[in-house]
Amino acid sequence: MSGTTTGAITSALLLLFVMCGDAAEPTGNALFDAAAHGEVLLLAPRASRDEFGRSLADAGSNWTELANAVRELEGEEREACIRLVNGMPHLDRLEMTEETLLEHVEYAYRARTEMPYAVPDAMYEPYILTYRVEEEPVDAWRAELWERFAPVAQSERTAEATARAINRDLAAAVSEREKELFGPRQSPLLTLRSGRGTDAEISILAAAAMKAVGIPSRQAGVPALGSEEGAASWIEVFTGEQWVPLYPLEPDAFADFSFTEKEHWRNVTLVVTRSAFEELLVTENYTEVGTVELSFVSGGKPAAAFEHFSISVLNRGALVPLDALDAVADDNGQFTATLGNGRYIIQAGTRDESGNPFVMMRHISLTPGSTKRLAFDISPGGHEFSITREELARFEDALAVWIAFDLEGEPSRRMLPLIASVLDRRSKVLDVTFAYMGVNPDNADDAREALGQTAVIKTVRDRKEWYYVDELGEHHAIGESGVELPVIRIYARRGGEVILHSEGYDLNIERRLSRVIDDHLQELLDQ
Amino acid sequence: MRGPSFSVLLFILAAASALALGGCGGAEYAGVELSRYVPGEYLDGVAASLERAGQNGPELLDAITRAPVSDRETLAFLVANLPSVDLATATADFLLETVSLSREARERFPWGSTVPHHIYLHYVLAPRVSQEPLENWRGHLLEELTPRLAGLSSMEQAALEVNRWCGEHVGFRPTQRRDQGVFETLASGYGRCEEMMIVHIAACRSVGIPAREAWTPYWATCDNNHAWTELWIDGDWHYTGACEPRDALDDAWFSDRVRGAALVLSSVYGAATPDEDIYRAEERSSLVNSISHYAEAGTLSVAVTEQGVPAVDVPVTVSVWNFGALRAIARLDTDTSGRAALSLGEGAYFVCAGSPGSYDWSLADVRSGERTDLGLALDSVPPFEGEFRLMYERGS
Repeated sequence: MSGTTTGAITSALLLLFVMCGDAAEPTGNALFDAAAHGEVLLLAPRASRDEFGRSLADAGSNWTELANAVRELEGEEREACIRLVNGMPHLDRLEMTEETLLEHVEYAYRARTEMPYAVPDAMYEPYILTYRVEEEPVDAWRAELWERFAPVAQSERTAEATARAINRDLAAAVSEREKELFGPRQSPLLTLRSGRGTDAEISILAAAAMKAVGIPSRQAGVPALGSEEGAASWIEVFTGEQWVPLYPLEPDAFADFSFTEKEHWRNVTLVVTRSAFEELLVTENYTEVGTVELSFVSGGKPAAAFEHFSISVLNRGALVPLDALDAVADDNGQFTATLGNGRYIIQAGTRDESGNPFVMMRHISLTPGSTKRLAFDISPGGHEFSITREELARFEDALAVWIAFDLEGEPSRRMLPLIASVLDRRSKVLDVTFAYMGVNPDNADDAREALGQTAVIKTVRDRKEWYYVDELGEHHAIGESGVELPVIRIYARRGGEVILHSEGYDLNIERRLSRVIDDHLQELLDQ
Repeated sequence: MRGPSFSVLLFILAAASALALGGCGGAEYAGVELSRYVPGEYLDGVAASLERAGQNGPELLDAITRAPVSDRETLAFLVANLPSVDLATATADFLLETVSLSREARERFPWGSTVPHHIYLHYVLAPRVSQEPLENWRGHLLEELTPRLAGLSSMEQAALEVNRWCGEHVGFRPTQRRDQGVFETLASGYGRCEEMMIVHIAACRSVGIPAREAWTPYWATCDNNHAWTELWIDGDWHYTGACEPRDALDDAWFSDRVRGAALVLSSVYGAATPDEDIYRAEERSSLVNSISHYAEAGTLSVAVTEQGVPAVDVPVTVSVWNFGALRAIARLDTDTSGRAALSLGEGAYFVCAGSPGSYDWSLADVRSGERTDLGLALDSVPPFEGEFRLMYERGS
């Protein structure tokens, strides 16, 4: 479709926004309904009641399993159980049974109260009660591991001696195998019973065994080693004074922070620990570290929130990005990382309107205690532009943006947040209309959540009205038999020129939108 | 509440068995002569499975000895290719039901008899799609879908109808890293693209339509990746969006994008047939390079040397720009002549080989129908420094 034409564009884009009344999906009795099942919410402390309700609603028909477990418990066990439910990922809420959840809560509590050593209160919920170590399936492992290892704790008496003894036991009981294409991670019990597991699965078993006897534990590892090939995985245990490493198949290396680098200088790049639902970086505990300070500018100004960059290491023939660094520049366009001494590759890039990437690559050697500073100019074609509201207020002209979406298909689901992030930064200077073309009220709610309460969202539920009119006055069907949603059109209010048109899946929309808006604003300023 | 089928999740851990595990000396297990039940071509694979199954071995043996004579060969194929995690958990009932329900689907629908035997084994009988939990979805989906397919004689029309059913039950929404099983996705009504694909492939296989996973590790001209379904229809492979019905095959919202993809891989349960472009053959699974079905593709051939001599068994990777990094889409090892080669979509790639202290990298331009030769010398160790644009004529 041509992007150039005249006049009647505004009227040509008219849509009839008609509400459709019969959109509600039937709600099965099996799903959680806060109105019908409100008594369940009363089990939760007032402050967490709403969240508990959302968690149960997220559990589909499995919500009764979660609610029944909570109902069975009392006092602090009940509250801890509610916090577990509120912290669960979606799939755990679908898979968890009442019996499994109760086993985890009850046996964790036994470990807290029956072991000869003390369990620090602050460590109990995040590092013992949590039933998940990494990406393993939900499983009732706690009773069996308790039966097997609690006697060890009773005879060893201290947390450290218990951890060492279990470490020796596991090293003799399991051996490592390669990861395979098919199949999920093994549960800890499966690894123990089969006697085989991947590096990660053996770590999961070790962490579960520690939790079972009340020793705080978390998974640890280097996602990409600096001199050996591949990754390394172990666990950390808290033995009363500090977190120390426990290498499941190397019991003699217990508490030896230098083990991973013993024969491989510069092997530790980044150490990530993981417990249930959170990640922590603890590299400096394992090796001598240096600092990398990156700064990004665009159009002569700091590139706030820039995220198209990475720090990588060469590993097994590839540049492996250390994604656990969560590389996003701050408001000043800055990013700082602490890394083990070694060689790193810093990459930053942009894409043009066709998606072709422009890549900038730098190679650094980081020595202990040093700081390496690198600056990247990520201006796209040298004409990235930003404007203050005050500056813009001098102009009457603005862009009008029209966006149709349904949030039913993947393009729409993926693109809307990208579009929202661009428009949010410029929302005060743009006339933006979002047209929701769908029948599912849940999706309309999601749209409201994604776009914010202040966004103008027109709802078009009548399928007959799912079309748009182009600058030539032609009607185009949208949705099921027409073009892919979302459809995005940007036009100048006075000039009436369509300056950007996008249909369907376009994950470069963020950049294209930014570019067209900024160019337009630059023209206004130049006038 | 869940229906009866939801209660048959097969993540049942193996109970300790009273049977002795000794005596697995190749063709005998727990005193049973395997060759009585297992065809010769699967004897080694089945014996290895029994040994690897540990405490669950007797379950597998139970299935092997209970299977009707007519099902022994398919059961042997199934067991010989089970991944480790399933060897330790699969019950005899699950295995026998997988075999009998696959046969039932083949007999129930007119297209069943048109599927060649090897396609049937790899893509109908296969119980695995990806990294989902092993679930016994076959009977549930067969009964759900049978009325929808009544009167249809064309495999293609049936495939389109199966996708319509899936689209009615599953929509897209980001979830968690761990793959949902078929029943979990159906229960919640949504999943990631991979989870939609798992449901869709299970549904197709349940009614005898050969199906397999396909995905691109990363797109070249925008961030992210994608997974979808490939269907074997009347002799050819076709693609479709999973749980995203259209009125025709080879038509999806990502059609434009996939025509410009860098690499598309398809998963095979067991060993792929030699007529396919095998990207990687593992012991019990294979990956097929399907890019030439989707895009204008050429061949990248990398020759790696060290001090002028071919470097053998050296890792070579091919990367595209995605999520702020050059990310590997393909990992190969050089052969005895120091070479590694694969088909790629037309476009520009970052190619790297070696390890710290002994590596080389370069950019490569792959053109449709042509072979691009690239030489890398591990003793050159150039710094990873530079600024470059990777051009793809097929932009969005």
